[in-house]
Amino acid sequence: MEYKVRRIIMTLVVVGIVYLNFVFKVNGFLGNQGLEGFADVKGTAIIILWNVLLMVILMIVGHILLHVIGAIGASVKNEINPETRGQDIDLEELFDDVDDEMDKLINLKSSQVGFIMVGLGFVLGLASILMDYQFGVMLVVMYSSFMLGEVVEAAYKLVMYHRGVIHG
Amino acid sequence: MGKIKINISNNIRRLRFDNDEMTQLELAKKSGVSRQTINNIESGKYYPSLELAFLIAAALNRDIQEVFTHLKGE
Repeated sequence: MEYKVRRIIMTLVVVGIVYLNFVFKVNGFLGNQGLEGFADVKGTAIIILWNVLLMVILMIVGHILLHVIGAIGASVKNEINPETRGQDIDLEELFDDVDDEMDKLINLKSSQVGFIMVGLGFVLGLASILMDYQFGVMLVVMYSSFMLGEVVEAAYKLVMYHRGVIHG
Repeated sequence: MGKIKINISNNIRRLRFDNDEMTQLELAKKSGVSRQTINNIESGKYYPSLELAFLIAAALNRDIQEVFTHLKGE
């Protein structure tokens, strides 16, 4: 599996963990109040900010783990294979992070899909205000759309790396 | 009038072996792209830009028409 693909999977896992944590936190925050609990906009904002911080930290830890596990895996593989035993690992090949034209095309196409999700979330958030929901609901809807956008973008990238991508 | 569809095929795999069994990684390094991109081009999952096509041809010491060929169809 290519390094870029592993990195995308790691992003998917991190976003999944962070969003699950967010759902549990919001659930605990609301308690028995239902959607009326979102009247506490500050409390909602604090939960979202903590989640953003958690995501940044988990992304950094994830990248470090990806490199460490990748390097250990490659050295074990080198030792198992009699032909490569004792040879140095080509780190350039192992962590091939060159962003070439195909990557740029994939990034462009996937970010367009991600933007659609974020746009939808923005519209839904505004609609929630029109429907007289608390302002906190809008924050949650928009934050959820960012997270969903990230998931869809990463999943779309995985599909394109697997199936290929065409111009146009 | 229908749009002309162009299917591009390539001989990269054969030409790599003709070039001292050049690996995908070696070709990728010579062309300035990742191994994954060369793999996708080779298997027809991605059509390179004209610039990259010339770079690949140069890395394989061939003319571009020897590396890439197109099949026209409706």
